[in-house]
Amino acid sequence: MTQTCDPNRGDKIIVHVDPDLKDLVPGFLKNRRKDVKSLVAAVERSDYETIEALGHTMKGDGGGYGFHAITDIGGSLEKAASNKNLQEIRKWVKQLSVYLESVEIVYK
Amino acid sequence: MSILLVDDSAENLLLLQSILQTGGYKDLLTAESAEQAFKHLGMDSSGGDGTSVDLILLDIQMPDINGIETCRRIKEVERYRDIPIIMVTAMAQREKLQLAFAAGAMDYINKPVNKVELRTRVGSALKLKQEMDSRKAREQELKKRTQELEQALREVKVLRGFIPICASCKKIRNDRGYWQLVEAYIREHSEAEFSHGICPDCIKKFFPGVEPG
Repeated sequence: MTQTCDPNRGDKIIVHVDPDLKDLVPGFLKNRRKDVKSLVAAVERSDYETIEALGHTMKGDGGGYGFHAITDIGGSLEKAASNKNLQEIRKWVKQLSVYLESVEIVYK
Repeated sequence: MSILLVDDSAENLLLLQSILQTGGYKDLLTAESAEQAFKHLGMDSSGGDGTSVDLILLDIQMPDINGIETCRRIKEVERYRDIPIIMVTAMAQREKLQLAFAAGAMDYINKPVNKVELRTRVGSALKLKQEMDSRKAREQELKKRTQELEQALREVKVLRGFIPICASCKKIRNDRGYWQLVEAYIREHSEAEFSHGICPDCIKKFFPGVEPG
């Protein structure tokens, strides 16, 4: 992730993505926004298995699309879920949500 | 050459397809589970022959049947014994690689997938498969040639062993039990041919007065 500013301030995060993936990226990010909703619901019911699975998938897929922050967040979610640490899980779900709102893609 | 991609993440499958297609690999099949992979390969109960593939990229962590077990089952099938299988694995799963290699995998690539690494490993694996296919074809050809030579050898006419010959007229008893002229016997059992002449003793005997040449 090329973090040039603070997303928590509402600033944008510039991510450079391979132009070959231009057609796939919108769908990928749309699914990550869906994942945020799924994660929030899973947290409400303490469904660690779902959280761990979603985290694992994000960990494996994120960096391949150019979003290494999603890989990192996914890995952290997976670990927090396996430790059944709700506080950590909420932190990383929030991070993911802020990241997705702040990301700006440059195909390069 | 065709590649089968097996991963329970539809998005990772899309990514792999995109990277490989833009890298020139056009013949791609996808499966989101081991069962779908088995169906493609004709290993399910449908009884079909399946689609011919030259390389399999296989995610390690999948629900129901995982990648390691999938690899093991594919390698048990005679026609897939030599197919290269590359495991796709996240860093934390490295300890499972030993199990994957024991199950028959030949290589691995990391997740998240790197474009250069993926294309390089796939290229090497397909080259290896091509070499193996050529070797098998040469072995088949050699086997066929050997069989032809053995057959030809069986048909070669050779005189050997004890030959029953009449002490008086010099006729020979053949394999069927009949006495035949020595010329006829030799003609049947060798590639020799005869050119007829008369020896000096016979000239003297049958043509007295003719000087032997």
